[in-house]
Amino acid sequence: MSSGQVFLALGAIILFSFTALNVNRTYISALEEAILIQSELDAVQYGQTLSEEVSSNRANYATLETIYANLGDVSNSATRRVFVTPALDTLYATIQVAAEAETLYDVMGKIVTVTVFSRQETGDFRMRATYSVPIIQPD
Amino acid sequence: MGSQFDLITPVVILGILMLLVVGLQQFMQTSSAETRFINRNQAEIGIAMQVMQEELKGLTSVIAINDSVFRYTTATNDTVRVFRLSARLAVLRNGDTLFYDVGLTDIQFNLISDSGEAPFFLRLRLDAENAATQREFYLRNLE
Repeated sequence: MSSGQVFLALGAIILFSFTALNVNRTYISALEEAILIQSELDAVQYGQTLSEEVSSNRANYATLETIYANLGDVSNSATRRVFVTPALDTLYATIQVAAEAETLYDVMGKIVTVTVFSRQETGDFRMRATYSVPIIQPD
Repeated sequence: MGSQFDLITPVVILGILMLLVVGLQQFMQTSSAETRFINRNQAEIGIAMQVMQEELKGLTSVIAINDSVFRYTTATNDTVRVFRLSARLAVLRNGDTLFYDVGLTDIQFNLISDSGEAPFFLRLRLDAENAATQREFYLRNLE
């Protein structure tokens, strides 16, 4: 093999390696994106599910703090909600009830904040969705 | 012999390289189509949930519910039936049917109540080929 051919072969291998790596990176990135979108979709749906649950407790206005007591720390398994999505992803949520105050509608009420998290590989929690649910003081 | 080998080597290398590049291109196209399909599935299933949210706002009583069909009446006395028809979400209201082509492969309804009394929730699970999601709707007017 002449040195020209050796260089040609080396060039071809380098070019192919570069292309293969880029293709692989693009494929993984597209897959990651799809998983991320699914995760966002699940987080939004779970957040809305919890918001609906909070809304259903309007009749229990006076005891909202008790119903959702100790659900404010996502890092503690005793103070969070856990949900396994249809895609088998695990989501975590906190529910916090603010003190009675004037709400968005200029009437007295309590704002309940629902926050949905996912857990990253590092063990850290990443916020995925948050909802503020105003519960108006019953007449 | 040596000179023949020298002549054929670059051609073989070039041929292999071209085959690899064409193969990669094919793989990229397939992968890109798959990704678009998955993304579309995910978006459509989200839209289907929004449609159901709007549809359920007027619900006043449940007529019948099973795994795949949900029938109810609304405040305007409409009778509504929601089900899956092939890949479509079908909402049949007093004989008029609205179809939402959202790529469904399965739909599941469950009526949930902790005590058998209000509050009632509708648990809806939607599956598409590459996406699935679940949500609970609070049925405000159901007692």
